[in-house]
Amino acid sequence: MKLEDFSIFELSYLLKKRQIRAVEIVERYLSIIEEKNSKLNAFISVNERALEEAKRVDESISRGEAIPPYAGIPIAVKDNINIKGMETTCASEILKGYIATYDATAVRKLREKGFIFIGKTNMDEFAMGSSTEFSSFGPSRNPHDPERVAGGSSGGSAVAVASGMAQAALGSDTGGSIRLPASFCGVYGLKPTYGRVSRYGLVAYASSLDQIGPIARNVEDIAILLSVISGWDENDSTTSTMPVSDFFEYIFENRDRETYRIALPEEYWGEGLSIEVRKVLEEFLGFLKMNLFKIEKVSLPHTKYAIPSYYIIAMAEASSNLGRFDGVRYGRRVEGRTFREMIENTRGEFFGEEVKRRVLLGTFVLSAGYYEDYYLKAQKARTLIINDFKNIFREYDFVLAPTSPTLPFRIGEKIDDPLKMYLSDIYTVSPNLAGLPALNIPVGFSNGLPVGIQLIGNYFSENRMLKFAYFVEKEYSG
Amino acid sequence: MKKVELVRYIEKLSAIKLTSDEEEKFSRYFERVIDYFKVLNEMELGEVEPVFSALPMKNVTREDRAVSRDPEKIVKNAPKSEENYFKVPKTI
Amino acid sequence: MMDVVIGLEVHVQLKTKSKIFCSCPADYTKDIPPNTHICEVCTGQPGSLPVFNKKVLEYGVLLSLATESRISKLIRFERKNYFYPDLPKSYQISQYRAPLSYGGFIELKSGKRIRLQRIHMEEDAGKLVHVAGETFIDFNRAGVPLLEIVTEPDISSPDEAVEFLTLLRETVRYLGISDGDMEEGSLRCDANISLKPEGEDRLGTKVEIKNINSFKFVKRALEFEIKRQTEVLKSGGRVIQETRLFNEAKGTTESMRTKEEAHDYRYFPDPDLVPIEISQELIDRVSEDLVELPLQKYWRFRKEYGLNDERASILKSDYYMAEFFERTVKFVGNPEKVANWMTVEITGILRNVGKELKETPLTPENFSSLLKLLFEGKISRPAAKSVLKRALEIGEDPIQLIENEGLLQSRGDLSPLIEEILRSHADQVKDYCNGRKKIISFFIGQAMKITRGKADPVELKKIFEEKLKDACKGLD
Repeated sequence: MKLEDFSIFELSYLLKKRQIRAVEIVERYLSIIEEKNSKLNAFISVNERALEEAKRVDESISRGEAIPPYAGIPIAVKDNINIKGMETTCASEILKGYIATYDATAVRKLREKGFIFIGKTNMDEFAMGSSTEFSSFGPSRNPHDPERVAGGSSGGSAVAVASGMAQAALGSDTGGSIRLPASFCGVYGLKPTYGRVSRYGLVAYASSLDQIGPIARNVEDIAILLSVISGWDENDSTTSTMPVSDFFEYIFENRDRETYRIALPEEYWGEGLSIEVRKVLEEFLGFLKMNLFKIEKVSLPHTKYAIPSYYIIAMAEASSNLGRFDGVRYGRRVEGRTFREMIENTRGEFFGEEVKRRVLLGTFVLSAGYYEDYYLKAQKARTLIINDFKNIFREYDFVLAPTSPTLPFRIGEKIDDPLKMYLSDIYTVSPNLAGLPALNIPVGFSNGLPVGIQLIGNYFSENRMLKFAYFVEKEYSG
Repeated sequence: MKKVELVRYIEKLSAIKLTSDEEEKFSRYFERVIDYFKVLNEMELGEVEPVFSALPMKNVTREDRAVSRDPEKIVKNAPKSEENYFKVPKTI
Repeated sequence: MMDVVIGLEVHVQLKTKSKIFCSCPADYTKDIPPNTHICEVCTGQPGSLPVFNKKVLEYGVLLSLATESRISKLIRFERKNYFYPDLPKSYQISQYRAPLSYGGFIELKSGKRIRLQRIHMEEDAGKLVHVAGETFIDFNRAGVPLLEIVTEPDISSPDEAVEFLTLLRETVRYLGISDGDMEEGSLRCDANISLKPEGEDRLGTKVEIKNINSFKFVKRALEFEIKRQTEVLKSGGRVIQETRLFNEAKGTTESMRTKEEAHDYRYFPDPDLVPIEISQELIDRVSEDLVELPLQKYWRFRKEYGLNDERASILKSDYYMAEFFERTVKFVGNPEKVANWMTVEITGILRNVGKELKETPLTPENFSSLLKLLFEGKISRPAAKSVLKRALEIGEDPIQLIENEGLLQSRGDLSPLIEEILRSHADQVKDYCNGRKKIISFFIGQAMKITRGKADPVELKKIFEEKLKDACKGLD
């Protein structure tokens, strides 16, 4: 068994039993990075102090000192989440050279539990994209076929996890940015309930939709990471005060299998879904039926308004959130004769094409005379979309939907057609608009490319979702 | 407003300088996407209240306590600074 | 004749310990080195988020109650988006569609009410220093809490504007929520002003005046602008809608003459902050901090103590002074005399030494003792004045001063002195008896000289008159 086949729990156990050293774990991951990163382009930067930190863990263990529960486990972090003292670039020219002055809350919590940050991962610039092609560091490549995209925007994190360059990773999800790359790379990826995980230290794309979440090779690791990073944060007014359960314990508790009531919204299983993906997913549905779960077709009638609403809201918020990148306080600058000239030059030069498009369009939908027609209307549509889900969750435990309408597409295939690219998110944006938790579960392959299904749960039902996923992992995928 | 004027107006509001090539490309994109957004006009939204957040949270505040931090690193990230001031070209 | 129509937009900086959305100290005065009271939040670092300081809400509710504004049940913050070097996030967190309160008023002495359109909370920007083609930015002030108070265009003269601002300043000071100091920038005022033919309903073109940085400039700026607009209209011209800056040196207003940015602020609810519900409980709790307001105090002082306009105005201008006055009157009565001492003597001395009453060792108790000695004739008026002066200047207890310097006088003590003076100035006594009554001031002067001002001249005059009467009888 290879080192990277162990779970976080198993590695920590072996470490404490002194059957493995932290340095061995970190060296192993660094060597895989060395071997694969030049081809797959998952990392923007690698933490030079990782090995040093691992040595300190080993020294503590050899002195018989108490160590944090997950000491020495290497985690990759998307490059829009701050790690104090490391560069945060958001894969943008405009932020290059910016050294984060503080830890994101999620990072601080992981640090306190002993995790080692092995590096910062590639992404679409400022998380705007579905393929990790809009990165100023070049696209990440799909480990299952390097000519194909990794999905985005957390493509680097998904690739790092899928190809064994990190034990697990943090991503961020605004409209599918964790789930889509997880699906394309064949790993688990969870977007938690809005407010479950603090956004403090996550460079904002669209504040009302963004959530940090874990990407991992198994459900156990997702559960452990989620337990660590969740919870109320005094620095984020939008975090929930709901108590956080130990998700890892929960999935092992009460081993009797539950029966689940599962809804299949017809709007998600219609003609937009490609034949290859459909085939794999239907096979999986067959397995669920065999297990006597109640599976029924339902309707989420406002689904067709989700994509336009999502893009209007996300772009509007982004246009405001990205205003701070003006070359005044951090990042790069193109000089000008006046302040105004300087910031226009800087933003014109150092923002990438897609970022400029979204900021400009976001500015437009908020501008005088258009606010009511676009932004306000989208927020009203959001109410309807939320109500759709509320109705379903009165009678069902979960909603199941495809994560992506297609298999991972070829690099360059959609890059010149923004609207086509936007439709990659067709199945993933609704949970963000509604604030619901959603998880990609890998359920098979088609032509050697991974296919994932999307499990959408009710608010704060991550524990039950992970239990269901654990069952699937053991009984179906495994 | 004419389309060119509108695009220039948005550029100004966004403080983003586009090349004329980019302007042209953006105009085309803009038209297409705005057209796509119009699907929202189909909805009956009479009595529907907008939501500005996915979850109904309210009343989050902090106590009025002051804490001094070490802000040295913050100024260090500035592209230009002098005597602990951030520095930019003149405003007019 | 033209009617003058003025509306004001006033920014009041709140005296909280920390900033509105982060825990940096809200103190940004000149002694604080640049960019030291800053953090990730108030400099808009990537990934930082605001958390709202509840004290700001309490102060805002307090001013709303004091101005009888209607407080909204549910409020939210919105982002006002524009680019400027002093604005670290490229948006100001402010309120737009759901402000804190609206529809209040401040009443002037004349009984006229200046209606308030709204009061809302927002964050201050940083400070810019322009030097030789470059701009230096200090973010110590960025994120300091502000209340913005917007009036209806109800003000019809520069004097009314000054009275309104004075009352607003006194009110925020009474409530203890702001220093209300225009020179220091803790109270800032922009004015919208237009002229229209008398009796006409339609408003004229309005001009916004900014950069009025002192109380005395409010009147100057508005008077200049009225004159300027009147002349434009008289000569058949048209007033242009624009923003003008007040030039302190010249006492004029000048067009900004810059290409103005479009005022398209793209307000939208800030998704980083959640709505705030203002409960009746909160309002009830805050209302316990309400005090009698300046104008109420003014009218009560006039009625209850019979004070004239000037004295009541001065006393009500400072909460501490007004309290001081009332407590002193409780001890020694004589409200008019007490008011006189306070508004003339004390105010004069304090103005010279640049202190505030509460910074001195003078208390209603020791001031009452001093006045009592004076009223009972145990100390002369000049002595009382000089004691008061020194007490306020060097900060000593006035009663202690009197004891140390033996300033207490009595009638018996003075008789031998007076007899001695009369003996040694027989010629002058003769003159007096011959009808030159005015010469009595010569004798008083002599006595004052010898007692070095300790004696009360009124008392002296009385005794001299008695003694001279006797002396003249002896001459007959």
